[in-house]
Amino acid sequence: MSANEIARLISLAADGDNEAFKKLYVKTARGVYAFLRTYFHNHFDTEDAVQTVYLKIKQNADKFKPRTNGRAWILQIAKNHALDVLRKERYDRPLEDAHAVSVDDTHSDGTVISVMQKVLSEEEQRIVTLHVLWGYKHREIAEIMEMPTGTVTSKYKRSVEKLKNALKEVR
Amino acid sequence: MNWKNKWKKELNSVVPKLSDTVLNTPTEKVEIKSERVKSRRKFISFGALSFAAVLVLTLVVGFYLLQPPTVPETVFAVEINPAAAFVLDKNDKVKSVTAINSDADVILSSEENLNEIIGKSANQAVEKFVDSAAKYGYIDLSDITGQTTLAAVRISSCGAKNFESLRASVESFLSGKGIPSVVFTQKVEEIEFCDIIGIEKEQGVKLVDTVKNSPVLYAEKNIDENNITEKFHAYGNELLARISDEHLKKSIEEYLQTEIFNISQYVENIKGLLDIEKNSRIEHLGKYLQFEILNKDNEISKDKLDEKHREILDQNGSFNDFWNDRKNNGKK
Repeated sequence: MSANEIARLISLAADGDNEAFKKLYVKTARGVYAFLRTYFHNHFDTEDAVQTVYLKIKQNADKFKPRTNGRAWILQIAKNHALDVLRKERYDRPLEDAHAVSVDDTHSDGTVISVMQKVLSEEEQRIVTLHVLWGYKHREIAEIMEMPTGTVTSKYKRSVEKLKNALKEVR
Repeated sequence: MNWKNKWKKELNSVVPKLSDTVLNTPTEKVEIKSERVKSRRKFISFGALSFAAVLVLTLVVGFYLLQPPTVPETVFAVEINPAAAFVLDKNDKVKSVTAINSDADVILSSEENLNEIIGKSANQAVEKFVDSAAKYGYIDLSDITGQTTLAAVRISSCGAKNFESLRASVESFLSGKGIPSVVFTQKVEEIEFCDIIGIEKEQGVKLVDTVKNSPVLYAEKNIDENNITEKFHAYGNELLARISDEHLKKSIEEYLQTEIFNISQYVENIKGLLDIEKNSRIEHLGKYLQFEILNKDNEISKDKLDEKHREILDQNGSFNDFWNDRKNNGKK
């Protein structure tokens, strides 16, 4: 779905059009889930975060400026929410649990989702997600992630190679 | 199924359904508060205001009357694999270039490449694009028979502009690099152009604006594997189909992923290329056959031969005889 179409649906949702919001969810939830998964590493926290993100989108749809980049707006909400949750978890964690590793399900069950989490760093997962699911060009990803375009291109290529090799081993 | 499609399918199965609580949450309306801003007023005489208004009006009208008639922007697509859509401004300089597939994205992600495309003439920009495609390995400069394959380039446009000189320029450029090529141009209607570049034209939005404002213009294409073999065997030459299946299937998959041609057009192109090989360079096809059936120690791998030819090999012990026999008996 194009950024323009996403922007249009957000604007319609802001006017109370629930059908438009449902369509927005159908078209973007997969990309939001994959993006949030790079922060939370497990399905259950990611699932919760997806619902919260869309709650925020619905509540704040009126604040979205029409004809601006709807895709970027959604991802910014998702990223801010993820960082808020992670910061709060670290702050709230009792002292004796300070060194505990957060629950993650990165043991590979052969799915692409699990293999990605196992073999790619968070940064690589995000680059692949933004490019494959969200359609961002490498130079746009470079701006989002504040790194040179060449770095994004080479990280993306390496990530795909690692993923393909790991998926072959799993078969 | 490639990993991207598999990933998307998995995500579809784990993404939670939209809850009613979220759906029914009301949007918080933003109130626009206007504030009075006190400002100093300057008192200007009515006469001075009138004069100023007339002067400004004259300048504005004169400016527009003196402008040369505007030439609309033009959009065209160049498909090799990779594939990209170019927008030319009124001076025929490239204003924007957008990837139609992910392979073009790799080329256009390079700032250096972009600098040699944006602001250049169509000829310069497309030559740079084609040159980059060759350097990045997208134009296959030699196949396993040792022969140079034809590079195929399609230039599509909608609108009145003629791209014949661009076609000639690209052919000449590739020829200068030692790459034989087929470059053809076509003028298409907007609907077909949108189909080529993979977009849905928005009502009331100019095509040029859609291309310029879209970050990417591609989506994953699905490969119908059943269709590949069936269409290829329709060519009727079982021998060529048998030995070429794996090699050509991979090529067909790559073509289909970028959808440069539909399957029928692709098979027609392959038939044409194979006819050229059949008629004039049959020995190279033999080398390809040799490649397919020789094992890593360069011995003929008998289990890959059919029974008839196994017998011939056993009798003759010579690959040349074996190949001649296939030449005489295998072709229809």
